[in-house]
Order: sequence, then C-alpha cells, then structure tokens
Amino acid sequence: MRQSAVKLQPRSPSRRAELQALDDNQLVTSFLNGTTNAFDILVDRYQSRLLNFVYRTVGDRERAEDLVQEVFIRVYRHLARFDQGKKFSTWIYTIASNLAKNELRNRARNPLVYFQTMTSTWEDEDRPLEFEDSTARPDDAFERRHLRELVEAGVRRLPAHHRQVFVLRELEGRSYEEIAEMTNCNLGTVKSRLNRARAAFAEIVRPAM
Amino acid sequence: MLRRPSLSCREFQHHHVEYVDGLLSGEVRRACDLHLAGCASCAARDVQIRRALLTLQVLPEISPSAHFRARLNVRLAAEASRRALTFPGAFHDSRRPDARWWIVASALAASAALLALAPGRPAAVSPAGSAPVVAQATVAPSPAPPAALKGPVSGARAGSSRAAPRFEALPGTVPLGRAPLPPPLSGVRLQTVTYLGQ
Ligand SMILES: [Zn+2]
Repeated sequence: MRQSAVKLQPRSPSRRAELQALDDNQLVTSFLNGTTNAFDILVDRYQSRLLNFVYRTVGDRERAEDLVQEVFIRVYRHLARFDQGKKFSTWIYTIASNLAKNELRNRARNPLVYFQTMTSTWEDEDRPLEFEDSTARPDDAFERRHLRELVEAGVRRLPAHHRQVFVLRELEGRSYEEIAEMTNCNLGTVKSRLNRARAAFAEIVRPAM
Repeated sequence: MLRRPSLSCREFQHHHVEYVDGLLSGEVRRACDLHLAGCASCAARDVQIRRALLTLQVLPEISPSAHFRARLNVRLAAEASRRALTFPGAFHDSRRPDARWWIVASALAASAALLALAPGRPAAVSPAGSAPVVAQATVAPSPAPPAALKGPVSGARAGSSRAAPRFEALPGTVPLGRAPLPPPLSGVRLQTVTYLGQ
C-alpha cells in the first residue's frame, strides 16, 4: 500500500516542474492517465483567475470562493468527458460563467439574501487597502480609493448579462469568440453587450474623470 | 477641408467595440478614423469610453483566502470517495490495486489537514457537511448512500435558498459512454497512508 501511494503521488520538485511545463490539455491527459498531481497544477493555474472573474461578476468575495470551489469539483467530476479538441481554459470559464449566472439568477429571486450578502461585502471592503502605495500622499490615497469604489460600483451596476461579458473581456482579456462560447451567445450578441456595457460603465465613472 | 464621414454614427458605433480593441481590418478602421475626425459627438464618446476602460486598472487582484485550498482538497477527496462508492471497482485497475483505500486515506488526510490547520470559516459558510460525511460514509457505507454523497458537497450557505448543484451535463464534454473516470485525487499525504497501514 505504501509503495503504491508513493508511486501514485510523486511529490519531487523536479516532477512538479515537469508538470508545470505542460499546457492545460496535456495536464488533463496526464491526470486522466493517473498523474494525480496534474490536477493540482490546474488548480494552481486557475484558482486566482477564476476567483477574480467570479468575484467581479457576482460582487461577493466569499460566495465567489464557494463558486470557484464548485467549478473545480465539476471539472474534476467531468474531466474524463472533456472534449480535448477544445481549449481547457474556455471550458473551465464556461463552467464558472454558468455558475455565476445561476448565482445571479437565484439572487434575483431572493433579493434579501443578495442585499445581506452585498452589505457584508461592503463592510469587509472598508478595511485599509493593501494595494495602495503607503508612501503616497493621503489625498492621493483618498482619491485612488474613491476611484476604486466608483469603478467597482460601476462594474456591479451593469446588468448581469452585460457585466459578465464586460468582465470577461475587460478584466480577463478573453476574445469575443471565447466569450461567445463561454456565455452561449453568438458573436453579434457579445459585441453588442460589450458595446452597451462599455457605454454604461463610462457613464457611471464619468464623475471621477 | 472637411471630408464627409463615410460611416454613419450608427455604423460607427456598431464597429466601436472592435475599433477600441484594435481588431478592425484596414478599410473599416480607416472609415472609423475618418468618421471620428468629422464627428464631434462620436469622438467625445470614444474618448469617454477609452478613459473609462483605463480606470479598470485601479481594481485590485484578489487572491484566494488562506483556507481555500484546504477546503477544496477536502471537497475533492469527498468527490473521489463518492465516486469510489458510486462506481465500486472504478479505480481497481492494475496500476492502482488498492486505490479505494487510498481514496479513503486521501479523504481522511484532507479532512484532518483542514481540521488541524484551519481555525475554520464560520459554520454558515462552510461547505455543507464535508469532512465528517466523508468519514462516516467510508467507514459504514449504506446501501443507499448518504444524501451528501449523492450530489456534490454544496458550497451554498446554510439557510440560503440556493439549490444544491446537480450532476448535469456540462458544455464541452463528450457524451457519457465508456469515458474513463478521473483517477483519485492528489493531495494524499504519505503519512496518512502510513497511518492506515499501521
Ligand atoms: Zn458620429
């Protein structure tokens, strides 16, 4: 038993480095062939990206973490059936995107839960900002913080289906084609939503510019 | 000398997304340039949108919380163990003769790791019944698996009305057939295997 566990779970740094050199689809193949650490590398690769995407879409950090966990569970569960002719990143974002969309739909049915969640998030975000330069002048920090709040609010205020496309494009840098696949829309819809989302967002943040 | 814009405002706006992203082909891009040069209203809108998009740079990147990975490992181990119970023998191939026990070990290891390392998130936001359920189910599997093992361990908050996720087909997957099951999860710790072997 011990011997087999050691074989199954190679933990040497060089083996890990070998895995890290693989692209996503190679990692999937490797995992399905029994290299269990390959899944860890996929999680390493996507956890922060997905968290940022889901957080910007649903606006609630704690819930975003729960949803990203769910993404990985589903990936794990369905990996054997993943069509390897496709891009893994598109597939995993599609799963994340669907979960985020369901979350927003559930909230629309349950506005009270949504409100409580959002206000707790706001309180949490009132803490001092780690990303600010501590050597900057206080008014700079204030202005920067004000701008950040406005920008965050601007993203949050976009209608859900516009926000999803907006976040995928502007914050995740996804191509229109990928977004179309992830959101199950055609290209024209993606561009049109992006166009409207940009215009609405620009209107919201205009006072700060 | 003012030249008449070759695109209408509506046409220009139709192309604006790709124009801003630099994705237009030469001819259409030149037509858009031309329109901007002759249309103050579209030019103002263009500038406003470009400046607005720049402000997105102030948004900080967030990182997963300290316990994110430990929680995930517990849930993945539970998933591996659920699969082992749902598809007995699924992992019993020549390469992994004792993989089922290994899954149990991995589930217990992840649970123990979480309990030992993490002070824990508030109960209200913990994934529903993760670690204890795994241990229970693996020690004494019943003919009908416990409810928590039939579906994924839901991350939904207790008390919320969010439905537990179901096992539905995902986009981008090949149809069910004889697709191989994923191997049991990584994250097993050697010391746990040793513990079981004692
Ligand atoms: Zn115009």
